[in-house]
This record gives sequence, structure tokens and C-alpha cells, in this order.
Amino acid sequence: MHNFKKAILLVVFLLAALAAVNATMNYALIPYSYVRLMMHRITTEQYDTVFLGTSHGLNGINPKVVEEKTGQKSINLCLGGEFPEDAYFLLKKVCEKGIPKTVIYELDPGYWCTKQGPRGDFNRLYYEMPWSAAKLEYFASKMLEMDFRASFFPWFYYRGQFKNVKKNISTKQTEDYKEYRIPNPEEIGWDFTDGFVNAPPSPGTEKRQELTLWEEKDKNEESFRYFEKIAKFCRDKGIALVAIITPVPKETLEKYQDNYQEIDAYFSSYMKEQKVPLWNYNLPQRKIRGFDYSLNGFSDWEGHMDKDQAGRFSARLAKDLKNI
Amino acid sequence: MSLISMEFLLFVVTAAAGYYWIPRKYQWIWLLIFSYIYYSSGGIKVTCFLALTTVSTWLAGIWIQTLSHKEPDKSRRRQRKRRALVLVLLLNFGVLAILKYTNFAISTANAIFGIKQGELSLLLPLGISFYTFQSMGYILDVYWEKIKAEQNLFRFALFVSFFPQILQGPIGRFDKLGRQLYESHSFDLKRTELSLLRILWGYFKKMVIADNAVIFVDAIFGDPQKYSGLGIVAVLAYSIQLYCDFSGGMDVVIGIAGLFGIQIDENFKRPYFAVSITDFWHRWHITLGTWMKDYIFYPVSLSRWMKHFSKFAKKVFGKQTGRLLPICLANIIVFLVVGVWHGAAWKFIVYGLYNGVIIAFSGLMAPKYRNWKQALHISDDSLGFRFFQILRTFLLVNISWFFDRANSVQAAFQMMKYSLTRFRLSELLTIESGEASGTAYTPIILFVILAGCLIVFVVSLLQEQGRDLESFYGRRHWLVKCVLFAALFLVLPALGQPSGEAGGFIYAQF
Amino acid sequence: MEKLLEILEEIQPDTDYENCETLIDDGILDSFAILSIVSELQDEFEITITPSQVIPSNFNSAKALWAMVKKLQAER
Repeated sequence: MHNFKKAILLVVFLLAALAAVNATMNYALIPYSYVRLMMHRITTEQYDTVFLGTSHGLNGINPKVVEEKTGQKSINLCLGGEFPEDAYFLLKKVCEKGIPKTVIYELDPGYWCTKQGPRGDFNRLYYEMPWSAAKLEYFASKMLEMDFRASFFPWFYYRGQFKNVKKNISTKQTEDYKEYRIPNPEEIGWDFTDGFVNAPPSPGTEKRQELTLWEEKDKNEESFRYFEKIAKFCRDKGIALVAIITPVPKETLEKYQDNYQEIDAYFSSYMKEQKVPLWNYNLPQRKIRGFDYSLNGFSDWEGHMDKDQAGRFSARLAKDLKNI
Repeated sequence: MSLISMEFLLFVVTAAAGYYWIPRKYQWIWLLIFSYIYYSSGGIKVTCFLALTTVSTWLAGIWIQTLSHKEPDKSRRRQRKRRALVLVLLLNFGVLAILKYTNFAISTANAIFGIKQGELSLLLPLGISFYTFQSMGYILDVYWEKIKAEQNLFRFALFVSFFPQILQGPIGRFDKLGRQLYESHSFDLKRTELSLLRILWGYFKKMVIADNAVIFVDAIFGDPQKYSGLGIVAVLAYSIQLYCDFSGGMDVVIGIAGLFGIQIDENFKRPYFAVSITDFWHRWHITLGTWMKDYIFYPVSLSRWMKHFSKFAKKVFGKQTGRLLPICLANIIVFLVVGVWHGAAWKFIVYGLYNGVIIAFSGLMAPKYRNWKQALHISDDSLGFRFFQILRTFLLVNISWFFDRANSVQAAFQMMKYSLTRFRLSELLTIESGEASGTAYTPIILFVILAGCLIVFVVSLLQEQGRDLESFYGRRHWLVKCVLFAALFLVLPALGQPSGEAGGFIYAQF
Repeated sequence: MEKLLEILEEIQPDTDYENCETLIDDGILDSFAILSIVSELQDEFEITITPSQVIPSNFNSAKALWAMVKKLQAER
């Protein structure tokens, strides 16, 4: 028995030591992210309009502009690496504080024909989410299937960051960090003014051409399943749900014409089935006045807008939202 | 459930903890339930295949045993037993062959006859190669009256489905494994500690060494023209990846079985220290080798038609060679099966034949080698000669890896040619090693692989010399043990790579 | 028994067959040697050896082999 007790004590000691090292690694390696700000906001305040979706939305939807024009308190929760599964649990988290009136889902077909994987903020959402019923469900649904290192060692996906350890630690010591204030863009490397990631305009420069095209044969059933869960959740809670596709550069539309037509046909019919309105801002009937559709207005061929374009797009989006 | 997933860890912890809480006589039932929970997490349809093999083999076992005792007429007994055996072998190997090789047959027929038959989309039940072989070994043992048939269907079902080994082996034998599965076990602290250590060691090999090595293997084998200067690096990296992935998986699986007090067979014994290809196959995927030996090699060699061939060969080639030829032929057949077992592609057949022919040739030449060594005063025990044998074997094994891993037989030959004609090590640093980081971390990852290999090499060397590492570990101070455990745990995220899609072990797809 | 020892010596020389009892357990005889022995025994003593008889307890020593041969001769 004595041996057994000693063993239990040792195991507890080992686990405590591991937890301590882990917490230190998390503190040192995981950089300050706007996801932390987002999580803080949705757990402390209620919102009327919630944007969910991907990096297109993160760069292209200015919630302050929408809020000014619609009078509805708005928050942008779009993220790179946010799959419909992540959006679903984010929405559930939001509703723990208060049910919004409108949810806008920014649809990027690339996330509906690829598997979830280590890109963007895919693990960050889970890491930054405070514990609650929603997070427990999120864990069971997403984290259980994943590599155990994603759950136990969140810093795993940031281990290449050891060069930035000093900067990470000093940032986390600042008042801005502790008070959940938006940090100085020049110091931190990202600009979250107005509640979305502002990309600086870069007209005339060479733009990145890699994009993920929609492939029906590779469709990811899980993405569809979780979107349907979002739709049902919104119906049950009386939330108005709208799906949108953000504009892409006209060069991209021309080069991949067939593909973008297929996207429109496929997803229009799918959203009709789901009884969710789909606003595709690449269609002629949704043309935005004053919006620069050339590559000059975007930071890549995929369709990430710069901050001025985001302002124009958000103004139009706000107008359309007022009319639903 | 993937072996590296969070749910698998929770599953094992729950299974192991519960195993020692429940009354001892129900422990095997607990294992059976958990094994089926594990298997059915992969789908209900595939579980039906597992059930089919289980029920058919169990029935056949009882029937054959009944015939052995009840049928008085010797030749009728043999005939009826054989009929039942052939039926169950055809059914189970047939299912395996159809699921695994139909599309290969179709594509080969397309190529030969110029037709364009579409390939079928067939599901491949997890571990089907392993559990089929394990069950068929059982039925052959019953047929040869080496073991008694299991009367209880559910106990037999546990033997077939025991979850630690169903995915990628080792292939177990009923006499040794069955007994342990049905026995009751009490909690043993030391055994649990060593098992946990072994599990961590397995994850270390897989996540820190294999997952890093695969970056280079995939890059170079994926585009051999682009990296034509790196053929040698590719095959060495593959040697490392394959060994660490497969044996690492074995460590995890053996460790997990150990948590339940069940000792399953070792599958690896420092294979790269082998002194010949024959020796290599006594050290690599050991249970597949012994299965082939007991269920194909010996039966084929001792069969009637092989006896006739033996008589003929002795007449034509003289006693010594004539005696060896049938054995060589049987050996080539065995390795043909080994090759085919690895996959439905011509390169695997070449891989199998390559191994088979080398072993057959060395068997044929054995008497002559003995004479030469005596004449040259070379002793098998001399370190120099042993070193030469190990290097020679390692070279031969690496050549076989080209056939195992390259995209086709053609690609394999071309890569081997380029290895000699276009060696350019500098290309190595142009390989990207991270999603967004490009080649920035490539030197670090190469260093991690080499450091990991050094650690594994030292441990292997000590084991090869017969040192008892387990008791060495057992005698260390508790703080040292804690640090070791913590280090093994932390090195997994610190130096490991995010695993690919399935995040799986290579052999889990068989 | 002499004939048996002769056969063993011819197939694999330099082993003390009179006293060694771990021919299989110590890996002194490998599969090729075992099957060669079986082939010679079958020819020399006119017996039939089946897979179920190729087990360590029959092959670990010359004595055990001889016992097996005699048993198979009697059953013929």
C-alpha cells in the first residue's frame, strides 16, 4: 500500500510539473491574438449582429461601419481557419451571453471541400474560448478526434515561434493586454482597429496567386453538416441567418470563370434547400458602386480586401442588411 | 480511432482503469466490449466483416475438432476435415483478396487487354490483413491438432478483435495470446510503469523521428526528377521513417496491452543490426515472418508435390543442391506472398521476389560459403566480418526499400541509377519543412532526426548486447524517472510534427 | 542413431549433436537446415513428416529427433 500511495503522489507531482511547464510554454510561445479580444467581447457583451466566416470576412467586414449604418451592435467573428464546425460553436458561445438578432455567415467554398487542418487560427478558437457548456461540446466534437497534442499542448502549433518569446512575454505584461485593449498595430504586427483585421492598401504590387478552388467531388460532408446545424440553431432561436460570398478580384473571376459559375449554381441551390438567403457579391445584380474590383483593391488573387475596400463593402452590406 | 487522437487516449485510460475495478472473472468480457467499441468506431459496415471472420472461424474450429474425435475412418476424417478447412480459408482469404486486390486486377487487365473497366470503390475494413491472418493461423493450428478449438464464441471473438493489436499487429497465436486474454490479472505497479514508459517511447519514435523524416521521404519520392541528387538521402530517410513509425506503433501497442497485464509478441528486434537478409526477416515484422514460416513455408515445403520435386531435383542436381532447391522454391513463394501482402501493385511483387531470391540464393550457397570462410580463415564471430555483414545487409535492405516506396518499379530503378550518377547533397536544404516557414527550419529538423536516431541507436545497441534496460531503469531515483517521463512527454509537441491527415501510423492501412 | 548424427553433421557441421539440447531454442538450426534435415530423414528412413511434427520439442536435440523418427516408423 505504501508503494501505491507513493506512486499516486509521484504521478500527481509529475502531472503538476507538466502543467506548470505547459503553462509557461503557452505564455511564452503563443503570441497575442485578436481571437483573445473576440472571446473577451462575446463573453462580456451582447450583440445584435454577428458575423461568422473565414479570412475573407476577417479582412473585408468592418463591424464599426455596419454598426453606424444599421444602428445594430455588431461584432466580426470571422477567422482564417474557421470551419463551419468552429463557427457553430462560436455561435453557441455567443448565445450563452445573449441571443443576437442577425447572423451573417461568410461562405468560402474552399472550406467546404477540404479537411480541417493546422492552418490559420484553427486551434486558437478552442484555446482562447473560456470554459462553458459550449466549450465542452466543442471539445467533444472537435478536439477528441484530433492529435492529443492539440488539446494538451496548445503551444504545439507555435513551437516555431521561439524567436519571439521575449516579445510575447513583454506584450503580455502590458496594461493593454490585461485590459483587453486593442494593441498598437505597429508594435504587435496586426491592426484590429474597428474590430476587424485591417489590411493596408497595396495597389500595383505583385499579388499572391495560390487559391483553393471548389471541387464538388472533394466535398467535406462535415462542413455541410455543421452549416445545417447553424441553420437549425438559428431557426430554433429566432435568429435571422444570411449567407454571403465576398467579392473576388475580376482577374480571378475571369481566370477561373467556370469554377466561380459552378460555385454560384451549386451554393445557390444548396442555400435554397436550406431556406437561407445567399448574397453572392460577385453577381452583377449585387455590384457595389465605388468598389474597386481590380487586383489593386485586394491583397491577393483569393479576395482578401484592403481596409478601404472593406469600408466600401461593409457600407453596402449594411444597406442590404437594413432591408431584410 | 487514430492511435494519436485524444479520444484514443481517453479510451485506453478508461479501459485500463475499469479493468482493475471490475470483478476479475469479467475482465475478459470488459476487454471484448472495449475491443468492439474501438472497432465499431470505424463504422458498423466494416464491423460486419470482423464478425463474419469471427463466426466462420469459430464454427469451423469446433466442426474440425469434432471430426478429429468423432470420425472413425481415417481417410474420411482427413477428407472431411480438409473440406471444412478449405471452405473457411477460401471464405476469409477470399474476402481479403477481393477487398484488397480487385482494383489491382482490374487495372492490370485494363493494361493487358486495353479495356477500360472502371475501378470499384470498396471499403477496406481496418486491420483486415492482420485479423484474417491471425484467425487463419488459429484454424490451421486446430486442423493440425496443435491446439484445442475455443468452445465459447465470445471468448474467441476477443482473440480476433483484441483492440491493441487489431490495427497493425503483431499477429498473435492462440495458444499464447488466448490464455492470457482469458486469465484474470491484478494491478501491478511496476508493470504499469514500464508499459507507460514503453508507450511514450513509441510515441517518441513516431512523432519526433518518423514524422520529421517523412517530410524528406515524401518530398524526394514525390518528385524524383526535381530531387534527383537525393536518392540516397531519400532511401535512408525512409529506412528511418519506416522503422520508427512501425516499431514505434508496436511499442505503443505492446505498452497498451501491458497495461492489462497481457504480453503480446515483439515484432522488431533491432533489424538494422541483421547480418543477412534471412536474419533481417527474423528481426523485422517478426510475427509476419513466423506466421509465414509456420503456415506457408513449412506446409508448402512438406507437401506431397514438393516431395516429388525434391526427388526429381536430387536426381538431376545431386543430393545437396537437390535437397535445397525445393526449400528455395518454397521460400520464394513465401516472399511472393509477403510482397503481395504489402499491397496491390507490381512494385510490391518485385519487393517480395527480391527478398525471396536473395534468401533462396544464400540458402543454396550456404555450404559453399562455409568452405570459403574456412579457407580464408574468416570467423563468424570476428567483429570486422560482422561489421561487413551488417553493412552489406543494410545496403541490400535499402535497395528493397526503393521498390517498397517509389511510385513504380520504373521509378525505383531510375532513382537507384540517379543515386550513383547524380549525388547532390546541397539539394537537401531546399526542401520545405513547414506550412508557412519554408526552408527556415529544415536544418533544425535534420538535426532533430539525427539526434533522435542517435538516441534510438544507443538504446538498440545496449539491447543488442543483452543489457537489461528495464531493471536499469527500475533502479533509478524517482526524480530521474519523473524527469524522463516529463521529457518524453514534452518532446512530443516540442520537436514533433503535426501528423498528416489521418495522423496515422503507416501500417494501420493494411 | 549414427546415421542420424551423420545426416546432421553433413547438413550443418561444427555442432555437438550428441549433447546439445537447444538446437532450436538457441537458433543453431534455422528453417533451411530444419527442412533439409526433414528431407534427408524422409528419404533415409522412409517416413512422412507433416507440419504438425515440425515443433521445437522434436528438433531441439538429436535424441528427440531420433525418438520422432522411431515413432513415425512404427506408425507407418
